[in-house]
Amino acid sequence: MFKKLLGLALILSAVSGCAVNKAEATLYPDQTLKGVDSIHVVKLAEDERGVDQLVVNKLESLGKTVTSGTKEESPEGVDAVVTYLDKWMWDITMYMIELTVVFSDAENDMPIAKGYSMHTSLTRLSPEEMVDEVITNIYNEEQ
Amino acid sequence: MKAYKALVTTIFIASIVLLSGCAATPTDPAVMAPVDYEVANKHAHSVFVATGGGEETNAMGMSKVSNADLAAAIEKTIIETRIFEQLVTDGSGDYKLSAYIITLDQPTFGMSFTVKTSIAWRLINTADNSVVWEEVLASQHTTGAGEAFAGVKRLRMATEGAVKANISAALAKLEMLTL
Repeated sequence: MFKKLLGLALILSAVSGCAVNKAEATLYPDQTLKGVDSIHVVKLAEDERGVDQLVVNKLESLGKTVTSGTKEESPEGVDAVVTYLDKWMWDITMYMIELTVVFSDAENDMPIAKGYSMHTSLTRLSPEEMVDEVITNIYNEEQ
Repeated sequence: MKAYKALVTTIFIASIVLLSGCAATPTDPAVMAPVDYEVANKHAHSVFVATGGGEETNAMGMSKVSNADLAAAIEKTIIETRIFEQLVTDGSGDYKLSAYIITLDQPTFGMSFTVKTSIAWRLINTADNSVVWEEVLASQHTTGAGEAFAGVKRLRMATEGAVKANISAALAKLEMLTL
C-alpha cells in the first residue's frame, strides 16, 4: 500500500507542474483601444519564426490597418505600436510557452494595453492560437 | 526487493529536495529599493505611489514582482532618499507617481541569469491632473553563476536587480524636474 502511495506521489509531483495555463489582459488606466485603427508591429530582431506576421494577420482580421518592421520604420501618424515577446520551450518538439503583446502609444511609447498567455507542454497551443488568444483577450478588456 | 526500496526512497528524497529547492520566493522590496542613491535635487512636495502590471509569485514558478512589492520598493526609496518631502498613502499628495510594469523578461534556465524589465513611469500634478513627466524606462540585471547556488535564487536576485536599476533610472529623471 505504501509503495503504491509513494509511486502515486512521485507521479503527481512530476506531472503537477506540467500543465500550467495563464491568460491575462490589462487595459492601462485612462487608456482605450477605441480609435486605434492603424498599428505598426515591431518585429523582434531575434524572431525567426514569423511571429510578427501572425500578429499582423490577427490584427488585420480585426479590421486594422497594419504594418510591420523595425520601430524606425513605423509610419508617421500611426495610432499605436505593438511589441511582442515570445518564449519557446522544447518538449519532443519546440513549442511557444509564453507570449506577451503590448500596445503602446506611437507618440510617447506609454502602454495602452497588454496581454499575456502561458501554456505549458501538456496544454500547448499553436503559435497562431497563442496570438489569437492574447489579442482577443486584450480587445475583450475594452468591452 | 531491498534495491528497489532503496531506489524508490532515493528518488522520493531527491524529489523533495529538488522541489523544495525550486520553490520560488517573491521579490524583496527592501532589496529593490536603491536607498543609497544620492539625490541632488529634492522636491518640497508630497507624493503618493500607484503601481500596476505586477504579478504574484507562484511557488512552483518564477519569482515575480507584485504591485504591492513594487509600491513598497518605490515608497521606501522615496522615504530614504527624500526626493520628495513627504510620502502619503491616502491619495492626497501634491503629485501622483505611477509605475506600471510593462514587461518582465526572465530566462527559463541557465547558469547566469539576465532579467530585463520595462516600466512605464508617470508623474501627475494632482492639482490639475497634468502630466509632468512620463517615460518608459528599460533596465536589466545579470546575476552570475557564482552568486547563488540555487537557480531560483539567482533568478530572484536578477529580477530584484533589474527593478532596482529601473527605480534608480526613474530617480535620475525625477531629480531633473523642476516642480
